[in-house]
Amino acid sequence: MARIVGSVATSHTPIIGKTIAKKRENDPELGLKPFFDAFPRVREWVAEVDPDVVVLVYNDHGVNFSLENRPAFAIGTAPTFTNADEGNGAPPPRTFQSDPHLAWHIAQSLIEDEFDIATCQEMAFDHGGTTALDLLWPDHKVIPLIPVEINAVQPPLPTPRRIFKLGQALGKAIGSYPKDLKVMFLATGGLSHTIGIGGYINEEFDAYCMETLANNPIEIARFTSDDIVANGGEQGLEFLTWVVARGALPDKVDVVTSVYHKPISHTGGGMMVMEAAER
Amino acid sequence: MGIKFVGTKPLDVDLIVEGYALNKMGHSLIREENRQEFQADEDAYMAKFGLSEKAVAAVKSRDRDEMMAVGLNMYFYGKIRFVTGGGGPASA
Ligand SMILES: [Fe+2]
Repeated sequence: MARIVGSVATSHTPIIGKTIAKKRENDPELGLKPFFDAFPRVREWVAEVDPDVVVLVYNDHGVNFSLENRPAFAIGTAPTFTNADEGNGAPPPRTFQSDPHLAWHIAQSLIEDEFDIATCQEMAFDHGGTTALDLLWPDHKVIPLIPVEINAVQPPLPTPRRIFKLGQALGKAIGSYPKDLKVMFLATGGLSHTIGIGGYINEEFDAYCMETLANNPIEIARFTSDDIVANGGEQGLEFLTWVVARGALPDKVDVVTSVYHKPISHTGGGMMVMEAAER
Repeated sequence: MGIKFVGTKPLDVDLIVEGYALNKMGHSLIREENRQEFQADEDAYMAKFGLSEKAVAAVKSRDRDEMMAVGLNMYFYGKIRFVTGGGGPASA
């Protein structure tokens, strides 16, 4: 049977990907060293748990989905995915391998579980998808991945409670896959920020979200989207990707490692690795 | 703070309806040929997407808040900012 080895959650911003591409992680001018310094430990953990597949939980940034058709939840079910030009020039083309058998199994299981997720046989990632992959695999040797996308763009938005339950349903879907596979969750988004407003960062709220997500995620599930916007800014909603990755794990988790650093451009930058608590 | 997330509680349907053409135009700018077309003749490009007079004026103002006032969704703002020379990332 497939099993979940744990969840990594991290902020994404275009600057993170660019910094990695230019190998400027230690550049004092950028001031991002404390954030990047936390990632060797994450990569070490990934090597230890040795996943076969990643479920990449991200939010699209008005790239793969326009408002013509905006599902609440979507899963990529294609054999491969690409990266995208998100409006400021085409990046060097990349192809990401997937596991369509597992992806379709997840889609089927979710729908049986009353999560009517949209299936996508084409999907192109903006930095929301690629940043987290670059943090974990700076050499681009990414293992197969299955993207799960949640709507943080156009209200009405799925509630935090629903999003937490989506994580639980994903956990159940993976637990019922007959093949012996180790599956890791990788969530990417947040923390507090609002596009176009520099400095709209709520450090206290970010700290609360990280701690509570690990120890008492039900409390996060009780928020409304508006609560999150009021405290964490409009794009603070991207934190809900973390809630999916947490929902896939059991009630009790250990935090393997974490970091909080601000600002990363205009964003409160967080990372947290969680795995099932030792019993 | 005056933060207004388009369409959160209460859902502002007028703004969603008004903003659709502007957001659709924003999305189109993920293609290089469309960015070039916009930059070659901004007015013609906006007309092609059927932007209202108010939306055209908002884009010309280059002001984030003015564009939001006619329904621009944040996730499409960076794409318009980029093509109008405002710099910065196209999304975040
Ligand atoms: Fe984002």
